[in-house]
Amino acid sequence: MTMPILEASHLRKVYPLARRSRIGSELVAVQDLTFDLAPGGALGIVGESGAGKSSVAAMLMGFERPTSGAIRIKGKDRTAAANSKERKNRARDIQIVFQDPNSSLDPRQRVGDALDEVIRFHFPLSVEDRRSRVEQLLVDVGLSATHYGALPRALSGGQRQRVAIARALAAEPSILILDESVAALDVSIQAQILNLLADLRTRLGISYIFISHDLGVIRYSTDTAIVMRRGEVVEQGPTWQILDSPSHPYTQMLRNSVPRPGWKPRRLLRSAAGPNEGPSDD
Amino acid sequence: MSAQTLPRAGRLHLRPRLHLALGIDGTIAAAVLVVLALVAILASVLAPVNPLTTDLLNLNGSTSASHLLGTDSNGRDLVARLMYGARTALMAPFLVVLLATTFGVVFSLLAAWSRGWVDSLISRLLDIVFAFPGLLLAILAVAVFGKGLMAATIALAISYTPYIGRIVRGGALRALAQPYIAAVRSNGFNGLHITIRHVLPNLAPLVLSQASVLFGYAMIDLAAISFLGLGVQEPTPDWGAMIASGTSGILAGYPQEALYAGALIVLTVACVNLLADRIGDQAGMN
Amino acid sequence: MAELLEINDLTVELSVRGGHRLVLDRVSLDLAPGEALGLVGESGSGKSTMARAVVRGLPDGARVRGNLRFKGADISAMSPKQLRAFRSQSVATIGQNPRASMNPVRRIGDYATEALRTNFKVPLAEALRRAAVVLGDIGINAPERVLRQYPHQLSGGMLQRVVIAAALLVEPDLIIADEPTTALDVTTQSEVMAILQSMQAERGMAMLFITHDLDLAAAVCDRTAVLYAGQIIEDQASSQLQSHPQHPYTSGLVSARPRVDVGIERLVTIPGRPLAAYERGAGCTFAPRCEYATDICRENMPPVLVTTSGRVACWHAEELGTLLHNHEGESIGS
Repeated sequence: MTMPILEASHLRKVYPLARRSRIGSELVAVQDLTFDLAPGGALGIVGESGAGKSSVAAMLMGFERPTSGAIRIKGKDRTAAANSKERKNRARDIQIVFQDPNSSLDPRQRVGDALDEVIRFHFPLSVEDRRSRVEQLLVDVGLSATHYGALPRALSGGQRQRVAIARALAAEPSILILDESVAALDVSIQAQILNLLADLRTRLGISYIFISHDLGVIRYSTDTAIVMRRGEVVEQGPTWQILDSPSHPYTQMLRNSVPRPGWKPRRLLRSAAGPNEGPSDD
Repeated sequence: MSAQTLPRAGRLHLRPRLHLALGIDGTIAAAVLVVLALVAILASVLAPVNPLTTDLLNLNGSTSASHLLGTDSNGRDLVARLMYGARTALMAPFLVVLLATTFGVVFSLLAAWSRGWVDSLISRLLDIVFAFPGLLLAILAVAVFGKGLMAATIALAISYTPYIGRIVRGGALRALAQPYIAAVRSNGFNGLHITIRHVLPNLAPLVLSQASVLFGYAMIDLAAISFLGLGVQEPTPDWGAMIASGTSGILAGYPQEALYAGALIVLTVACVNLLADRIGDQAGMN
Repeated sequence: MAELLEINDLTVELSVRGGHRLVLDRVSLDLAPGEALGLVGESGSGKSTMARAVVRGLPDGARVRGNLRFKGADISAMSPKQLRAFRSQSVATIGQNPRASMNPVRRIGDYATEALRTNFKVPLAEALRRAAVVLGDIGINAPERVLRQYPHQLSGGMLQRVVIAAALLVEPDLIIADEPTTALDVTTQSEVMAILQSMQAERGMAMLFITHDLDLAAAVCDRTAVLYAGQIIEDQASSQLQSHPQHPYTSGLVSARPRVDVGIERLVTIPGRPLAAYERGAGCTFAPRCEYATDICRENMPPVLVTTSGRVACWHAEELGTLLHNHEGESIGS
């Protein structure tokens, strides 16, 4: 049995609230999350807003420290949000691609320079070697070497996301987190990026964590999935199983809400809540 | 793939099409300022006569062949005095803005990056300085360190620092909240690298436009200080000082000195503000 | 039966720095009273411009050509008074961001009853009573309490329901819904669309439903039109559109969407990216990306063919008919 590339055990994240609100004095963003990611595997974390998905991403990337629980990558403990040196090492393990193509790149930095910056930081290569590495990355993500000198504003949303993926790959990480990375893209472009990601996984053997509210994306791109709701894990297992025979009513409801050929929108069993529904619900 | 310019574009596009970015009025304003700066630098070459030479036979003279704009109450040529006066009139505010901007940017970037107690300390310090009117601080400095533009300039620079500091801190906080900063940060780059390579360039338009606005204020404040007799001392020419020495002349029927000097100050401040507006438009398009 | 909304050869150019840009190109649509029409498009298709054009809400400097008629009356020729009446009584618009259309310092009740009070001179108490009834119909518990709350106290989904209620109160003939559920969770989306659909059917209101989601439009509307680069390239009964698309672009859109109910080996993608009207070249706007394009496609704009099920603008619509069938998970053509 191969060692999982990432092991999360009993991750928990609690935010203290500044003043006592309707919810109480603290917000439990993530209750108790445990999962493994196989090398070369793809895990999906599914949920609607308020599920806790972004907190999970933040903890895995080290932007936030878990309130309790542990994260191990390639056997090494990576729970703490560390100092610069440890962060540098961690960057070789795990990288992230964000949702918004408009703000995921420094608007003043040329594409080639952005990639070069990362490569130079992690690898002692000559200027020519770095240049060819950057050009290779650009080609790998479906762009071309001519995009080296382009500024983000000259690129379309899909192209910017490709650059964001290239920048994440520049550090040669073992794991890539895709945090709603295709949600802001047109359907036709989304498909291109999903195929690109699938190809990269096959070629580079990289492992993925897809964070998404979109069940179609999860189905297409992941092997295993975790369904979350308000910080709790509702269901966990192989993706096809969760989506074809969901055992939990919430998963069923989620699945039944996705528009597809032959689908009709339905009023849900629970009637629309009134004044007790807070802003965090959507 | 075709590179398409998307609506969100709007960063300052320097050098190519600068005149288009600034508009007709902005370009004219910039040109005027360049001319004034050149006149100040080349005053020794351009001035018709020595600005200190008195012509006791021609006090408060009006426009004549030898004195194109007339003379002041001491018979000194106004054209020469205005030209030489441009030096301190332009240089001092420039220094004020340069110092204030440098300190303001450094402090605010430090505060925005560090957050926590460092941010609180710096913000409170800036607030305290902010509470003092610049002119008062300058007069205080002159009282302590003696008359002359140096003390006043430094004092004004200190009092202007919070203006830039607060705005840059706000801009830096916003910039640091962007996902691309998180992405770069996750690689392990340190604060210095991130603030200088990624935050500062994106704040440049904001800083430039704020600095331009401050130039106008500095010019007026310094003119006021010279007007009060605390700044540039006789016989050195300076526009602000010339308004002071020319005041008595206005009532006596010889308004040239004060008028021309005042007009030049107004012209400079107007041009700088217009330029600041245009640069601000560019920055605001983001 | 006379059409409620007739759009004929609508062409819109928007003003940009240095000129004008073509955004909509000879768009023609008809909407019967009580009918729901879906308008599907990606970025640059011009769909939001359509929504604004119908209510004459385009930005200054926009050039509009073509015919826009509401109940026979020319919308572009309406006087300010007629236009106000049109916008306040005949049409209601539901946008993507409910929070953006509400004043955060006014209560929900103020927002919901504003149109009734201002345009119909209904007294406040009566207006609030009616609002409570509609909120109840929509399925909101304790509507009186909700009416007293402020926008920040409610979630996006709740606010969108309030927006729908406010629209219904006016009893418009036409609802224009421009991406009303894009910012909502999928479960909330299902709920909100179900409400909208039932209310629309119950009250006999027509609806122009604008979205990027083909499946959603097809589920809620009787007919669906597909907009690409400012042109309607296909228009069919919704039930037919997904199973028998007549245009390669529509087919591509259907294939590009990863399905939740079926495992797919590989998504079939459309190369390139969606263009806006002003970016197109000669010939068919979709030709550069179309795997079936031939010379005639590249040189000449295709005519609009009227077929048994609708309309399609494609030179090869007849030959492609069988090739473009989309069954579950099967890939198209080659």
